[in-house]
Amino acid sequence: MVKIAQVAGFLGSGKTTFLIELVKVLVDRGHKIAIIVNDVGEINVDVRIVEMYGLKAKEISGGCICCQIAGNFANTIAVLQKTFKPDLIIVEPSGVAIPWGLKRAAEYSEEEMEGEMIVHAPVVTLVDALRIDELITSVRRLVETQIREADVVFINKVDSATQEKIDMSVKFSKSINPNAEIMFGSGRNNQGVREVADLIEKRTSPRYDETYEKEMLKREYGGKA
Amino acid sequence: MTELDEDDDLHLEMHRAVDELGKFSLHMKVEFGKGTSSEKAVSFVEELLIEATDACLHHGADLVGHVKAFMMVEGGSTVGFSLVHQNMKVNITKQLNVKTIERAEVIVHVIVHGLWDPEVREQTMESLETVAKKNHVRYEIIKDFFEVEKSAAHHG
Repeated sequence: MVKIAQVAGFLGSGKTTFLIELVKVLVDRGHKIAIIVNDVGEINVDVRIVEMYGLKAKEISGGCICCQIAGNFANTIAVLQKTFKPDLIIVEPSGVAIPWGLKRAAEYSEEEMEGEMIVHAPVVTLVDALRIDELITSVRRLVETQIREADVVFINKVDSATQEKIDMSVKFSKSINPNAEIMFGSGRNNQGVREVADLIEKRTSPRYDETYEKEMLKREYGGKA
Repeated sequence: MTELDEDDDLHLEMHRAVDELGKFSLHMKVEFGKGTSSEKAVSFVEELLIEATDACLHHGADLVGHVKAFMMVEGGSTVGFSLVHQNMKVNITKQLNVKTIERAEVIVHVIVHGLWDPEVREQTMESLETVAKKNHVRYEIIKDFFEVEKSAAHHG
């Protein structure tokens, strides 16, 4: 069994900072962690930031691992499993990744791992409370998709956002995904990180369901399913 | 192994929102000059990110995606820079073990919403020229990723 945890969220939502704190907590608890950091661009700044904290990360650049270079991602998981054998793989997808697409891509790796099954930790989507109004205005559909496909919506940067923006983030998230667990915190201040680590350790998320995803995407974006 | 079908209308529709993100990144060598304090060198990169962001917004971008940079100094010192909003400070993460920085390699990555890649590139390069001139800093582009990245959109 290979457990994959993804920390999703739009560009600038604080994924890298949160991931660093999350990994520190999980390592302190004795877990053997592998980190994969994806960037759509050819050059991956985030992985260098992660490495500044003494953590080793596998870098995948030049496309989005949820679709465009899904095969590369799947292969990376399989290689990590064969060579490093982590008990948890933490993934920072690009800020434009679709969580279910990433689940699907991760499950491709089963073809390369004899008998090993992918198990998903709860999908954690970070919502940037500081910029929520602007995100809703400019990139609403993408942010909606990332929230809709989350098991946990983590309202991030609550240490510097106004209560009004925090409330707006909650209202928006609940309107899209009433079943998601809403959590609050700030990766920068290590606030709420341990609670997310608990969920990642203890819970799982359903496997990719193509029929369900197509139906949801059709509802959201139109087009033919 | 199944990849997404690029002709699928549904997924094309889904990713149109993403395609409105314009991006540009570059890798350069920067010569700050002998005896330049590390604070001044860091502040040059900070100023560049602010200038490039403002220029993109002034030319039609309606949202900062993420504007970031990473500076690598001889001897292993590194500095990370992150800007997510024009009215917020650049977040700077330093691991500096030097007091002066004569030269460094810098990676810059600009992603904004509502502006196409060529315009993001133009605004970034113009900002670089302006900020470098103002600070008497020389630079040499090691690699400009425009050509490879323009086809590497989410669904390029």
